[in-house]
Amino acid sequence: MKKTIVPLTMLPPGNSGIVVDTESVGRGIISRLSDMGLHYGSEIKVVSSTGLGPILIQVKDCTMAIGRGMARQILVKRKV
Amino acid sequence: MDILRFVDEEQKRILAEVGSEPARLITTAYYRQAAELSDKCVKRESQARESFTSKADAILLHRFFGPLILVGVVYILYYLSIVKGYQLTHYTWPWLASFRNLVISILPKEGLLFDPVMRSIVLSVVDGLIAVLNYVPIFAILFSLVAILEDTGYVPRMAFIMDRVFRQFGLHGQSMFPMVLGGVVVGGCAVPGIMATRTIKDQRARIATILVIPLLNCLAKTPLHIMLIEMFFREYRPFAIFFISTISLVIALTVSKILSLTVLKSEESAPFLMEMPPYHMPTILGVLQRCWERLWLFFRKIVVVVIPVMVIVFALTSLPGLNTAKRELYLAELDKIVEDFQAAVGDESPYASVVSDDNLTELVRFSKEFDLAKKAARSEAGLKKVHRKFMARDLAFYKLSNRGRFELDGVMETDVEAARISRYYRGFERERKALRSRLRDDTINHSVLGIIGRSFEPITKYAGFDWKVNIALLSSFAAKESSVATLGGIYGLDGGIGLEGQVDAEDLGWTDLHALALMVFMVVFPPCIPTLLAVKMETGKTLWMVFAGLYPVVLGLVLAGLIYTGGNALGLTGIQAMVAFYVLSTLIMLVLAMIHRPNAEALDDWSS
Repeated sequence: MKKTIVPLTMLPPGNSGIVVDTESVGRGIISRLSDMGLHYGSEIKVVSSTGLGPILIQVKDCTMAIGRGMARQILVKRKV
Repeated sequence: MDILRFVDEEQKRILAEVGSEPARLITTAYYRQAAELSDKCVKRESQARESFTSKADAILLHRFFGPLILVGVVYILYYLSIVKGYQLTHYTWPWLASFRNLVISILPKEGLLFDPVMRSIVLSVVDGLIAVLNYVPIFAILFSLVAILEDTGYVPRMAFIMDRVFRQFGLHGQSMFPMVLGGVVVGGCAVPGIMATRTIKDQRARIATILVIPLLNCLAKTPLHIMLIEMFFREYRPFAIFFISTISLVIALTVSKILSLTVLKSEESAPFLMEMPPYHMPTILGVLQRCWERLWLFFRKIVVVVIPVMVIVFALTSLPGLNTAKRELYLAELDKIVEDFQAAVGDESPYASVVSDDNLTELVRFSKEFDLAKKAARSEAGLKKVHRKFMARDLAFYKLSNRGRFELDGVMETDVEAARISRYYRGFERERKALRSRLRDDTINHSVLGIIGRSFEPITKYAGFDWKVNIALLSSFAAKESSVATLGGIYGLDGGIGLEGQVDAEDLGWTDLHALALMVFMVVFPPCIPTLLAVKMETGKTLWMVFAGLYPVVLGLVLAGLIYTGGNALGLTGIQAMVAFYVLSTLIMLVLAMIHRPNAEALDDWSS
């Protein structure tokens, strides 16, 4: 059985997950994510994730690119 | 203060009781509410556009195709604006030339040797203006295309693709767009480029971007590069053009890495987080508006900076002027040239009175105006009109200026005597111009700028720059657009210096190492004054402006010194030095890219 809660970077392209937590809790991360409409409980679909550079995700109707270092800190629950 | 303590305590209490930060609770509730509301109120239209966007993104953001398409887009952008826009300037140039002629016609007339000061000042300002205005078609195309890119939504995609590369050099994906404006390949303008960095949230990357944009190939640097390539690297033109259009990026990336490892270490960094908006069809109005906004920045630069600067440069290159004894000496020389010419014409010639002291100045002016009018003529018919007009004005002057040929009853005739004299006249003009340029040389030599330029010679000689080059560089600090004209002017090449610059290699007495050193120095040339002002405005600190103005001088002298002194020591030819320099810089850049700061993770971090 695969782990169900993983950092966003571990999610392969095409898969979705639900944001459950962020690793470091600064005011920065929360306000920035909410600026982009990302919050606990929102569903993220990984569009493309190459070994290098930012990963491309889809939240609702919105596509966004998110830095790898930041994505590593977003914990998502894998959706099957 | 009590309220702050209260808030603090409440935060702790909630954290202890609920196990979650209040801020987190609030945003979660906030978004849950928003989601409920939007579910209730918003009726979704078909997903056509979104699915088009995601299909397009599958290709445009593809791991391999994405970067390839990006290169293609940038190539097309520059091809259309620089190559096609340059062709457009052939149509706009005559307008500028006739504007110049118009100004000349209302100015006090020039003398055989000394010109009225009023005339010289106004002409130097007008020439400066024209040199800059000539770029308007190129910029209009570049800025329109850039606005189209912005409106379609491709710009954030550029940032996404470039981020993985630019991160290695302390820049940000979003640095790409400002760098395109600043001239990543060839021909941009640093001012709108620096303005466009505003969207970069990462402060460290933003300042790094601002500081390296002036290193890119701004359009004003291009004429000098082209002139030097044509003069010294003609056989290797494709490589030389490749060299100059990519070396600036190599140097910029190297410098930005060094800066972010050193002086920018303490600046705040932020992670990459960008929305990729759905693709849009740009509107014509929107594109024109943005294009105009950026063009306006450019026009403002002209009025605010070029005009005062040209006046100041003029003053610095002509004051304090020659003393009376020297002036007398030059006048005596002129008298001799005039006498020789008149003697060659002879007293018996029917043209003796035409070239007499009273009429000679008029003849010179006539001949010059005739030349200018011919150059400004836009068509075959226009040229004919010019001939007719000047023939009607004064037949004798016209014959002498047109090698004795004239039209009589619709038939071309040759006046043999006039043809003979016009040969002597051309010789006389040559000598007079040589004398004038010697006079100008002498004046500049003893001018304020000449003295400054000479005082820098002990340092700049390692870069192969003599005092004349120093003057050209000092004055092009104000407006690089004029570097070719200034060089031409200082090296005493009277008239005829177009934008391509018809300067001969022999006239300069340079080797190709001189030229290469100058080209590389020009790449890292300090930003022009409008750019410096933009740096101050965008960083909010005078310190960064001073830094942006000074580090390129040091860097430029080191690089140019390396090429000239190093190249001479190793006995390299210009092209060998060019290849060596390119390989060396690229290696340094790649090595630097591999250096990660000890806390490299923090580059993307935000724990602060």
